[in-house]
Amino acid sequence: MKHFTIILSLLFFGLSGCDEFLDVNENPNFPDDVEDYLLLPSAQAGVAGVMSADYGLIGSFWAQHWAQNNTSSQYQTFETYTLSSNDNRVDGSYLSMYRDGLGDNEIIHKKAEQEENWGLYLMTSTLKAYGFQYLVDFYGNVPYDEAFKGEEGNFTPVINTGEQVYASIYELLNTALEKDLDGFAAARYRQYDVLLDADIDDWVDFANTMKLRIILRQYAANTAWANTELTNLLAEGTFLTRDVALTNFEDVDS
Amino acid sequence: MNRAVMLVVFVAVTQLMLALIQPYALSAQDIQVSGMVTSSDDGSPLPGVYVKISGTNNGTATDIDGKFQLSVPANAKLLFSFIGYKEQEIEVHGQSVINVVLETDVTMVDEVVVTALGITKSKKSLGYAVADFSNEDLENRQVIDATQALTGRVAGVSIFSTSGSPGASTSVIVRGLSSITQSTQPLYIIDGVPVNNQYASGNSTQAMTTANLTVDFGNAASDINPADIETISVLKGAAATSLYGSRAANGVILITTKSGKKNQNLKVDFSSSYTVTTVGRLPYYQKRFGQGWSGHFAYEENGSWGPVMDGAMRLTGNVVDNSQRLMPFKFQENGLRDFFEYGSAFNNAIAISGGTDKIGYYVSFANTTQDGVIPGDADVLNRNSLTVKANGGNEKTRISFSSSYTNKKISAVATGQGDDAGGGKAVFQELLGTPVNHYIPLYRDYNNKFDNLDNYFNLYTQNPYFVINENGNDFEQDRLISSLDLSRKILGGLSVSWRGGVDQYSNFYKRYGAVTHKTPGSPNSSENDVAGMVKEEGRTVSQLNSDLLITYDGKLNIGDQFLEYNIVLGNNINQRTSTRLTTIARGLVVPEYYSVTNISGSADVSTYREKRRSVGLFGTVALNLGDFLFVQFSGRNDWSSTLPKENNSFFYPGVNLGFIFSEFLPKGFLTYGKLRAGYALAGNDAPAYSLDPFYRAAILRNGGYGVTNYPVGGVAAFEKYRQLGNPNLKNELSKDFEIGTELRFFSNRIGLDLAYYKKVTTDLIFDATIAGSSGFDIQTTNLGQITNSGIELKLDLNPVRWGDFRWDLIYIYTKGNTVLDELSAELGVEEYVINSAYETEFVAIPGEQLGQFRIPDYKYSPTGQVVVGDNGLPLEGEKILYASSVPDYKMSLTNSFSFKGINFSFLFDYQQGGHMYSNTANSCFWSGNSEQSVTNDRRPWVIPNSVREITDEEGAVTYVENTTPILGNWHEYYNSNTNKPIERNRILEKTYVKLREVSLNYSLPVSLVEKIKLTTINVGVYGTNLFLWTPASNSFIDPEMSTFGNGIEGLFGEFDGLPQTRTYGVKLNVVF
Repeated sequence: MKHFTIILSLLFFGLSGCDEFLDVNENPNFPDDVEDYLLLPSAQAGVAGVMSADYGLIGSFWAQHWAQNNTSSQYQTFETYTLSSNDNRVDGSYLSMYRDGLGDNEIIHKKAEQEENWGLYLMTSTLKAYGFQYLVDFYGNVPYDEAFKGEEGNFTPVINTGEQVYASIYELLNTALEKDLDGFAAARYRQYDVLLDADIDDWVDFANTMKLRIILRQYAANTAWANTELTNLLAEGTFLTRDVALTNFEDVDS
Repeated sequence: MNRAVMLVVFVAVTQLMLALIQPYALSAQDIQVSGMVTSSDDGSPLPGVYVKISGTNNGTATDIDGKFQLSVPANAKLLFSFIGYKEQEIEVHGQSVINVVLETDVTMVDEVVVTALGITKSKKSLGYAVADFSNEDLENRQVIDATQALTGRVAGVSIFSTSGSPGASTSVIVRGLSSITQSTQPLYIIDGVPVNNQYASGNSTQAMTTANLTVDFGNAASDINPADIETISVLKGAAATSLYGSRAANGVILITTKSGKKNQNLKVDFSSSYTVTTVGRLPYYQKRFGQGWSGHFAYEENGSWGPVMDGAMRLTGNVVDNSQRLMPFKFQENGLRDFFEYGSAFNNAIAISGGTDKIGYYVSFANTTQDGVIPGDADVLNRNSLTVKANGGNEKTRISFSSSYTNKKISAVATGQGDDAGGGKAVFQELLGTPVNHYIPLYRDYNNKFDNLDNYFNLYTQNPYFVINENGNDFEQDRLISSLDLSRKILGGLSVSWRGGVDQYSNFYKRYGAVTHKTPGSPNSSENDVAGMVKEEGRTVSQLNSDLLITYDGKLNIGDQFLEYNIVLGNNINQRTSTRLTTIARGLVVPEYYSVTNISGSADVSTYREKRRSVGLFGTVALNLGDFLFVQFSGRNDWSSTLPKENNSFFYPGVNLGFIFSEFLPKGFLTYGKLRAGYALAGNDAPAYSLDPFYRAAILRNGGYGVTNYPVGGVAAFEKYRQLGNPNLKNELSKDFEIGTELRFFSNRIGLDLAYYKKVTTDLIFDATIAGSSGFDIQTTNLGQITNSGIELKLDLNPVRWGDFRWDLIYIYTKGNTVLDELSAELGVEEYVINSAYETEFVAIPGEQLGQFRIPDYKYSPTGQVVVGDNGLPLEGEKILYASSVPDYKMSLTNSFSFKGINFSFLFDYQQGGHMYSNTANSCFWSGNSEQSVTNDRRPWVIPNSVREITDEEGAVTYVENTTPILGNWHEYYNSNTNKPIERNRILEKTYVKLREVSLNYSLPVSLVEKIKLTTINVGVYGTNLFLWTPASNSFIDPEMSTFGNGIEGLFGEFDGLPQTRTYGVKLNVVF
């Protein structure tokens, strides 16, 4: 009987410490959380990259500001206005905006809101507005309210209309601008803000300039509204006097 | 044999006389019967034979001299039974002396086999198919990788070695593929301990689907010293493997190693073998056209698109110091073959075993030194292994210990395609890029002024001798497999045992690529210089395993039958870890100094660690009713660290049944017949770290053309990785049904083993696409289903048994089918591209056999004619599923003849159907070397039945007969870049007939051997892969090869892989 008890307890020892023993599935090769400022460059460069290498390229060809070399063929579908929705420029860039640039932006955006870090909140709101304006301009109706909710299990976000998105981003900019921006720890983000060096005044300018563009885009459709907003904006607002550009890189020798 | 027959006759006659002379004892009276039992083989007495009074449980056993004594009723029958011999029942008839000669039972009726968890069972009692081999079965030839000895011998199992290079890996696929993204290789167990079987690829930083400078250092199971092996059992279906739970879906290979026995006299077993290898199948070249392009001679070209070879002397190669070579412009018969040299493999193994009355021990040492067929020592293997085993104890307690250390050093040559980024070229690709009028060994000295990098005759191909001598891949591995086994009988039939094992190896791999610098102004200076590189990679892999078993055996009597039962309960704990550190340095400062510090910038460093654990509880109940009905129930529950905490438990039940129906039939020509059936579940582990999202250094999209890796401009950045965790991830699950029969006829002269299986695997693990607007675009999830089904047939025949001569035949037939039933369109996984090269994609498509080759088709007019372009070359049509990788059927035939001590056997292997991609074929078509690239003797020809498509201004389409010939642009016709539908020439049919093995062995007669105080002397000669026949469409390669590893990606085919080899060898085995 003594033997039996010993054996039984040996047999079940595995089960008692089981949960702890099996709790080794934490990936040691990658961090599961990083500081907000480390996500900032990838958010900004992510959006900037898609803007220049995808949408900027397409737009420039469509507007005939650029043409390709007569011996090349990579941009044939742009030049002949036969770009299809399967094309990697259309499909891959959409994916990259949501998944990479704006996705990382949203993570910092939420964190900023939680921590009442209104300077960062303004930066991420402006970038979000910037990105979504182009998404609407290029694709029309896109998800906004239910986007970025993968971790909550939402894989079928509702598609908002362009108007809804424009309205939402405008409201977002207003909300962000109304916050108290004093006490923003610019030094923390200076190295990682590859667009405006965490100069909060420049970001305010950027946000106002974004508002201006949003208004102007809707001028013909919503003239009355636009006029009111425009008047208010021009009265109080300051606008960009420097380029918002990602210049912190070196070209590779070709 | 004659003497035994005489003995039997003598005994029979004596019995008859005695019977006649002796008065019958009065019935119902007990009399004393005594006698002696001897073996029919050599007349020697048999101790331990069970002598039973039929119909009762009374009996005795023969003593050390084979004698017995028993008190029996005068009219009783005595049953004599002993393992390995046929039972005999003899009527007493009042005799007081009964001498019996038992005949050996050469077949497997009462054989014991090692099954799951190391439990030995009689083969009779199994409800499932097991293929088992003892070391004698496999010793006909020397093998370096033990699993290769099973090739062509196991129905339903596909075994092939991926190349002929030293240390190459072996692919073992049991009953077809049952996974697409997870492992496809079986679980290897040595003496009850699971061992690592990772594939050692020289390219850990790229996927298995890469064709860039691939190197194969073997799969871990190939390290086992073949001389240490006692038995190998292949457990094929889940009914056999279910007790291994979540790692058992691909079958299990159980290896038991030799050990010393108590009271065994000291035995020394020495074997030595020497094998010569030669290169096997090389592509068949055309013998008509020589170096050049578009029909004109060009001295620097790497293709044979030039003029007809007329044998005239021609100035060839570059002008160096005002001189130039003069060579006959003719076909060089062995221009490619003579590049390769004779390889050799020298293997020595010695084992010492013995036992005192308390302890048995076994010590062995083996060394293998192998040099492959690449000239010089660019491909060598040196392996040393030392095994120490000891066991001891008494009837109640047993303890055994085993430890095996192996050190392996390999130098290997890279296959696939070379690069200019530093690693250098791949030799076979360079060899294939040599025109047919060049004799490659001529260029051996790459330092002489004509053949160096500056002046080598071929502008686009590098001197292959430079490639093998200046670039390299060196690998060294140390491995320790160690286990400890304790068992104790407690009371009656109850016993406990514990077995713990560790398998740990660490290896170091160094790849180096030479700096190549061409003198400015030299003929070859227009080609890129290469900055050189060094890659150093260290890896440690470890597996710890513990099994605790409680066993209870018992026996009940039910009526006049007995019911034996055997219950096992167990607990298993397993941990697997691996660590890798890789450093790559590009742009060497000091040439020929291959160190990662020899660069001006900083090296790329990456590292990866993984750890996983599992706990299992299992149990089995095996019932034996009267030795004719066997039922076994098993169940195992696994808890795994790689599954979600709330749902990390999985149950794998199984049941199997064996019914010896021949017990109920009158004895006739059917000696033995069994029906068996089984149904069980088994799993395939989920990968580690798939449950949670994580961050990594940011990688930016560059408009679809490449990526930018952070840090950039001194700024570090991280991004959230695209993969969403899955709180519902499960193991892949196989449900396996098997039914079969084993029949033996005419006293085991004919044996038939037939099985049908059907295995359905669900919850296949894939990265499913999810809407990118959720912030993530993939999630590792379970979806999809594969069905594997087939029949396995094994026929054992002994057609001739005449005196000391016998002829045995073994015929094996396997027909299996693997179909991907479904993936999941809703989750965005409609197909899965397993591997691809150029225009060929190897895809998993729902509803099709698993492994489809998808290529561009011709474009057809509405009336079925081929549409060509303005240059007369076919236009690209729709993509089609051209062929599948699943063979139609396979069969093998082993013939063996033995006479006294001589044994001669040969094994033919035949596979019909199945396809693969061959880049060797592609390279040969591209260069114009292929014998198939001379259609119409390269005179102009128009593609038969071809049309051109004309579209007028209104958009109406008409078809006009094509009159544009292929003229001068044959290289465009045969190149799938410019003629996409011709890609089908690269998809080769894998049909082959091989003379896989021939061996002749001679065991010196015992009388002779004993004179020199030895026990056994055995000498043999053997050859492998001696003959290969493939259909005419495959005039390129041996279809059993791969440069993509030994898993499912490997079934795609090969990319300029080194040829397979043929071997011839002699061996000697001495036991004393």
